[in-house]
Amino acid sequence: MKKIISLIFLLTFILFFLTGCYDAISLEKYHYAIALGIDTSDSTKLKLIVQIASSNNSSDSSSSQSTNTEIFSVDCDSINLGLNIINNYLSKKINLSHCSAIIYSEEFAKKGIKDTINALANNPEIRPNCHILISNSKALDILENISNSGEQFSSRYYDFVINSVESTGYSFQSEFSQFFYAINNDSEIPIANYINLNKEAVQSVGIALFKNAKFEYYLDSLNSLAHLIVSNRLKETVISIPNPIDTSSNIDITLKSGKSKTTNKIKILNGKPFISTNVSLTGKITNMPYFIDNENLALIEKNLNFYLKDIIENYYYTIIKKYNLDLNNFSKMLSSQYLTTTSFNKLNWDQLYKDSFYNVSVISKLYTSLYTKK
Amino acid sequence: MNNKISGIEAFFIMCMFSINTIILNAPKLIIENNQTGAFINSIYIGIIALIFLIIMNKLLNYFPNFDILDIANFLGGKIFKIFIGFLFILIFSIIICTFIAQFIILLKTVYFKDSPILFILMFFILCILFSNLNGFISIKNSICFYFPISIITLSFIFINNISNFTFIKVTPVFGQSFYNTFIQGFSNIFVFTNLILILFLPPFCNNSKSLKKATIFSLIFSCILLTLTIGILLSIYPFDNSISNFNPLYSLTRRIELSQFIERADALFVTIALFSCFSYIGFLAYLITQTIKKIFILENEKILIYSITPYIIGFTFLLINTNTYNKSDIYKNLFNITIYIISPLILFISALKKKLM
Repeated sequence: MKKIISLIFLLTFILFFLTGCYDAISLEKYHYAIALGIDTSDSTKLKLIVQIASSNNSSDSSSSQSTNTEIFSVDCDSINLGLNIINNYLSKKINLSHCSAIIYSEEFAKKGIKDTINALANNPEIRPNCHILISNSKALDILENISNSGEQFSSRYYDFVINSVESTGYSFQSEFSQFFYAINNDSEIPIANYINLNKEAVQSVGIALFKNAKFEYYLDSLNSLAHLIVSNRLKETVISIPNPIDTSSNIDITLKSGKSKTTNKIKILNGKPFISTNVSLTGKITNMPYFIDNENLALIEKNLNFYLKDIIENYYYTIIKKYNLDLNNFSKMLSSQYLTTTSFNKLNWDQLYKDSFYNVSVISKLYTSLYTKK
Repeated sequence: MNNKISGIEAFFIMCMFSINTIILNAPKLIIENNQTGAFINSIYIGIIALIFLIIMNKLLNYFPNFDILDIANFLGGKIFKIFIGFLFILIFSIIICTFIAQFIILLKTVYFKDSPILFILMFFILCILFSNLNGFISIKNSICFYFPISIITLSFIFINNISNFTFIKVTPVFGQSFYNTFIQGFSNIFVFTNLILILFLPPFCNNSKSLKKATIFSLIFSCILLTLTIGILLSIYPFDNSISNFNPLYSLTRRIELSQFIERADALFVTIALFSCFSYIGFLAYLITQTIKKIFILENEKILIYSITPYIIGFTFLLINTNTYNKSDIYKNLFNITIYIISPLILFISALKKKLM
């Protein structure tokens, strides 16, 4: 009897307190932010822009799930303060658990974004896979233009910018968790998706590179492609190279990672770091209207290899000689040859890196829809 | 009532100790101390702990079915037994309260933002009360029930993150320096909290041989689990700087995406971790009551739990309010001195005394 009473007491307790009734805040009491924008401000440290999904469905909407958005902005000294001010004049509290992108204006990012990233990292509502985007224009313009993009679902507003990277290879999917750890880590270079607002259209155009938590440089789309190839992150891309058979035309090739991945090796040769990169890719010729024999296919492959070698060497020149950024974490690769960090530090990597020299070799295998395999 | 446990149950109980230590901050503490050397350090401290364990097991052979309090009584009489008893009560209290405090902070940060700490704490306290009032059998059974579930959960986390493991990320293998990894890093041996159980489990175990086997296997298991966790954490998060106060295993679960439908597997992890934590703290509280019972030679220890719980509440609040629940230094030294110096000394001198008698 005693056991039954204690069991009933326990179950009643669980029913009321553990099921979340005690302090539950239901969905309708929140405004769900789709994206955050951070701009410079004349009067305060930053301008915070919050794009929230509006619950007022448009009457002409073709789907019951389609949503509109509203944009609120406030000049403030910190993100949390900004959210607080916006909460003050909104009827509901802002929740960041569905925030899919954080957009920084280039102007603001150049001043340093570490404080804002760390402030957001302390908010558990932010998902680790939320994307960091750096825009060449004001973040407010991006948020306004993206909501006019024609996408019905506000939750998918940023999908085309973020996911297009997988099929184009022109940028990099920068997730919040990785960016946060990179920006707080001395040996890593934080990188983010660089977006461009051009004639009211938003698109990924490259990779934003940070130095000392400040946006310094950006890699254009070809350099971004080279970065993805070197770091084994390329999923798919389309390139166009001169046709060696008919010099007046170009050949379109869909490139994918090969069976064997790109390998990078580094060693100290004559007191300087020597980087050796072996790239392996597969490609499919997509616009060849006539049959290609083995000899011509080999010729196209040779041209492709030469083209890729050229863009990768150009990429290495840009990051090593021009920017002096260890984007591929070669220091980590080299440090694996040392037993302790102390012995590696004696190398003085920061000084040594810009003297690095490199050798790139590319092996690509081409297929065509007309001639199945070489 | 039969309070005896089999070898496999002893293995489950000891492994549950290490799982809970790993679920909370043990891997992060080692990584913060040794950076990339943490991987080798975890293997190194595992080997040292194993050597200690074998020595302790040999010494315990002289005292079958004796726990450390009985041995202290044999060596130095009642006063010495009380002293050692209080030392272990202090260690158990620190483990239990630090653990509860860390878990409460995690829950409060992530899920119960608006709830008062006392409200969250009451679940832990009620669990300690109910499990101890139901007795040793229910505590043991709950551990045996939740151990496989915890293992499945951890394996699930590892499998989902194992693709990120790259050996290059755990290099230079010896970390900052050999001194940092092997001399300073020696103090990390405190993460094997389950070693404390070899001093208390003998009276509960039917077969001392199977208990010894269980202790050795559980230590090997803990070492593998710790090394694996550290390897994966090092591969994913660069720990050059101590930056995040977030629970690293929890952060790992937030990276898991099971299709578009289950994007937040972290809730599942917290639920399972909570249940394994409940069974763990229940057992720790039971050890405190057993120690008090032995010190003061009491007949019924169950009633003691009513006086222990307010003490746990107070101590946990103290740790949270003074923000000391994350500072492992004092606890680390106390644990290491007690387990790796005082206890073997007591065992060694008692064995000598017994031989000479």
